[in-house]
Amino acid sequence: MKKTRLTAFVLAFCMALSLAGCNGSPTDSSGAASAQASAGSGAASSGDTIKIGLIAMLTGANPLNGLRMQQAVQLAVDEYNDKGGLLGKKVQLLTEDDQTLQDMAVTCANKLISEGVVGIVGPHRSTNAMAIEQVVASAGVPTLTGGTTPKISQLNNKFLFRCRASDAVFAEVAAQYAVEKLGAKKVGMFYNNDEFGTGGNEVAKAYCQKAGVEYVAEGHNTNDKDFTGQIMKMKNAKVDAVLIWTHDPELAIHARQIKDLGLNAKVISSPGITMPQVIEMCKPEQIEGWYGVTDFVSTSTVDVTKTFIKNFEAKYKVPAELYSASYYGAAVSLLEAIKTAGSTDRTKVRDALAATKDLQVPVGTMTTDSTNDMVHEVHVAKMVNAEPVYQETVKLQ
Amino acid sequence: MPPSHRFGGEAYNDDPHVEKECKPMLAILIQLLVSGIALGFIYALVGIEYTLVWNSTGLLNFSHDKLITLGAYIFGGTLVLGLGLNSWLSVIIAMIVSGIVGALVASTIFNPLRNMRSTIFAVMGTIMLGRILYEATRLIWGPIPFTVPNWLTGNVIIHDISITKANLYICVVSIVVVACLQTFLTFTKTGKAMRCVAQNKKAAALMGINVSQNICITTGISSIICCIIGMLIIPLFNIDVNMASMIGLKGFSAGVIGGFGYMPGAILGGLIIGIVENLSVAVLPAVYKDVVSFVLLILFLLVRPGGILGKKA
Repeated sequence: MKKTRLTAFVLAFCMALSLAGCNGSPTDSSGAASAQASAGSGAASSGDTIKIGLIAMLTGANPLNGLRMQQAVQLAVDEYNDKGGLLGKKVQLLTEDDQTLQDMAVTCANKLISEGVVGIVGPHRSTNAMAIEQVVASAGVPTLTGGTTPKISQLNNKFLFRCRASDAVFAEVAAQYAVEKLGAKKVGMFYNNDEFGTGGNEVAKAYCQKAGVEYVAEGHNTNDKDFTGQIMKMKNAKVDAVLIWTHDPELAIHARQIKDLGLNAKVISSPGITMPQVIEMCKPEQIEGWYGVTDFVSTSTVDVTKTFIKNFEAKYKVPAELYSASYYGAAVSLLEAIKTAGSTDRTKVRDALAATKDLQVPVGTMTTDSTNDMVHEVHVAKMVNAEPVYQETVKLQ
Repeated sequence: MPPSHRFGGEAYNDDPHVEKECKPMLAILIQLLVSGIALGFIYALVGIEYTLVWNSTGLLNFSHDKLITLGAYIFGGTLVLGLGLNSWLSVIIAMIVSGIVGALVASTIFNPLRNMRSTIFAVMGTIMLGRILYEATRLIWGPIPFTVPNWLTGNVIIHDISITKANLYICVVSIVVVACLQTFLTFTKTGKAMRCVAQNKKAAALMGINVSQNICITTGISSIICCIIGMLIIPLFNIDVNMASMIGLKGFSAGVIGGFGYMPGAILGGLIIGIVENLSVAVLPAVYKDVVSFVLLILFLLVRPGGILGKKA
């Protein structure tokens, strides 16, 4: 018995060790090293620089996305410095790693504020933006997040801006495109039963009711793997166009089953379909002719976007994507606001951000509204041979 | 709102063509039945691997859904996509590796922990193992889901009914697995020993059967079945860290509904759940599909805890 107990103890110890190992290893990546390096140089800098902060997930669950954010913001900063800086000073970027964790985001925000940044770019996740919302409001630091939940607009936080279109804009544009451009008389909707999906469903339903178009919706849950029932019901309802509002794994399964079960309708999907990870899970013929609404299309014909893509690839030798495009725009709008304000006073910069009008950035045109949402348009891409091809930019009235 | 769209939400119920459309309704039912049977076989296989371990050790392996995921990742992530091996060679290697993993699980968790004062030690061990496997798959293969191109893909269309080839493979392979397992348990010495251990460990040990070794073999076989399930569901589910969590639970329900610890019961239970939950979509909103199977589970626990084929309550 004693021996068994000893073995049990040793086993438990081994498990504890391996768990600790699991948690510990992601922090070893090079992203952490570069984050520390830039933070270190920030502390040592003198008073003749303008500091801006970035909260990005350089380690944790989505380190690659965080790295792209950092590269894009650095690109914007370098471009301004090459043109002689701002207000006669050099711009300096301080990066902090929030590991996609809410508590870390709060720590990062506090650290950046204490280091005297004029404004903060990031964090990316809506939940993290909500977590630091009070911190930046009480310190009065203008902050630009890329979180897309419509809840951010309802916070009434004067200092929190959103540098991408909100989920509500995406869903409304998708429904509008189906009805106005594709001429759908009866619109279907496959929505995920979570906040993202039901939010999209509400917006699309409201649009279709207003436009006098029939609307049929079928829900599913995250991690569902079989949508035969939903697709057959939609087939029976004879919809002309169908929207899909869900996450990457479910989207890929929808693509396969819609083709297999022969649902003949035009498909407009949530942004996932334009992303490589979803495209790789689908056969090209399954998604041929699908439309996707997105912030960023790499085949965009808009000049600002084309220049950004060229510069980003020249500097980092990797293609620009959603994260780099969104946060390049955020950094540019912050730097422009400092220039317009003519000062590094945080409140004046905030006012300048709030007055941003018709600023062209890679994700669209920025015009701040009363809820501090800056982008009110998204791009529509059509899938041609497994490549998203830019169609047009749709702006909400 | 224009009057014609007042019932936008239920448009397909008061559609003027509804009378002419009994045929499509029948098509829906058959379509649902087809995918229900295929999923039912998957639940049945899960129920079987669960039952094997339960009979052999008296313990539940709570990491079994992670073993399914691991099998899919080893096959798809490492062997086919990573090393670029031929699919059928990969199938064999993945099954061997999974068998070894299963035997390791038995020798590091079940055998040392099964004789502790309470079974909770071993059960906690398998739960922890599940967490370790989950995080390990995420760290080794990354969090982004992927699939194995051209693996069991394609579909057959018979009279407007589309049958995914993967569903056909699932049915055939499940039947073959069950037949092989049954032959093994009935006609081989090891199989007979496994049944002895399942009946009475003490008596089996007194008869000269090495119980610990036997548990290793059983868990290894159960792990190989997990791997087969993992490989079969790739074309339907894609490979992702959460791919097997729901079928893990449904497999458990299959066991309870059919009769826990009794293999034909697991098969019957699996098919019942698969078919009932799929047909429920025809009358209920599709989001309630999982609710239907778990309500069924609770009903059986309350009314007939021994299951349909269970010997006693």
